[in-house]
Amino acid sequence: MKETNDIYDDEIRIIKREQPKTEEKKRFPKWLIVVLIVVGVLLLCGLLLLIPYGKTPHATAHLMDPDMTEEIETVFDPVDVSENLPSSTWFGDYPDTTVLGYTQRIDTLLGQVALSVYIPYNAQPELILGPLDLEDKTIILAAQAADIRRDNKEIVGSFVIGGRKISEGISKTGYCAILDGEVIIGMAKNSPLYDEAIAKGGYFFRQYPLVSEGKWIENNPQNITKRKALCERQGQVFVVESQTNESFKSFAQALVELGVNNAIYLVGSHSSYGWWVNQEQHRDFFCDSIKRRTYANENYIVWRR
Amino acid sequence: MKWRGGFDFIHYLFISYKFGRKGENRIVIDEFLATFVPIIDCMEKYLVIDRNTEYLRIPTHRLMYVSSEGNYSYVWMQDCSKQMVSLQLGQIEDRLADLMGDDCEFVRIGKSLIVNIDFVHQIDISKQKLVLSDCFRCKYDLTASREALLKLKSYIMSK
Repeated sequence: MKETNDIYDDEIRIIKREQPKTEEKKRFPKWLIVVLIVVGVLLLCGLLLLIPYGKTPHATAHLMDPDMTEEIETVFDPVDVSENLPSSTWFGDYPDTTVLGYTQRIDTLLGQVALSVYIPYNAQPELILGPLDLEDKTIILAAQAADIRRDNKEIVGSFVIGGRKISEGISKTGYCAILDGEVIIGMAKNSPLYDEAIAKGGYFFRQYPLVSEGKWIENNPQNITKRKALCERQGQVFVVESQTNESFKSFAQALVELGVNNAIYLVGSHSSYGWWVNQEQHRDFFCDSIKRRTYANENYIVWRR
Repeated sequence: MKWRGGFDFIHYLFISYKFGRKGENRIVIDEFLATFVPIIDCMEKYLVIDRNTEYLRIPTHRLMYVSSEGNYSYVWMQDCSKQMVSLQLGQIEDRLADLMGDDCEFVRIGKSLIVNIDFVHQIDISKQKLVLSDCFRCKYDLTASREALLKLKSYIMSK
């Protein structure tokens, strides 16, 4: 692909195929094109007249060896990656488990909402409390999770980390629980997963619900900014970021259009911090602000390889 | 002429054409070719953007220009509409190059523009202005560097 930087603003480039032509392109003579069209039409007419009535593909199907029609499943069949997900609806790659963990970014456009989907592979999710350690090379995807109150700098809503209760509250009805390495996203004022997270040494936080069981959820804030969400789509969990400024409503509707079953909001805006590591192990940041303010209670959902 | 069958018809129309005999059939065939060969050629020239949830198909002769918007691009069409696509300008350039071959309908101008030269209506180098128009429905005023516009003007004049 040509990079946008390989041309200067004071240059122009004629758009042509790159490979040089070694010899004059041989074209079919025009008369031959017409002959072929006419012959094709005549053959088609002949075939239509010659096809006997009643002979359908089903009539000949039994002549085929049944073994030839049987679909053979192998252990490497990508469908096996998820039990409940047809391969045609799976987003992204199918890396085997020996591959070093990484995050795949897929850019897509739904209506006029530009979305980037970040899919972690071969990594375990968890929550961490406090600023991210830039030296930590095991984190392949990190995004700010629960909000922090402006007045007392406490975490908004219930927050459990490694079975330890950090804060409690249900001001936001969306939740994410991480139990035995599995991310569960939902919407409920009282979720038994909160107690389960404490009992099992799991993780739990609350955020605005965006999508619940395939339907978008209305939220009060009406401002427009870059949005981020933690999504579950037929068992696949990923982070979605809007590249354009969106309202809660337009963002949630785009997620529904993306086929997301459940989604909660993650800390958005242009200053939302975090990073992702691609297959080439290159790290990119969601926000490049070096002078950003950090908080003791800032928290992240991360995937470690 | 008395037709004995389809073969005679084909023979009359094309074999005589091939060997250069003059006659009415040659005019008929030339008209036929003039009508249908461009259509066959044009059928292949669609800029197709097919991503996960996005499918867009634009006939290249209706595409007026493409502008860059970070990792995305806006495609501006002859019906005065624009469409955002999740491809970088370089990727669109590659696809157009594959489509156009050596026909050179499109020119990349600097980092942020690809224009269809068929729609170049006005180049004002002193004002750094490039106007694309079909002189019917759509008119777009664009800005580019003086050097780039000078080169574009020379290229168009040399065609």
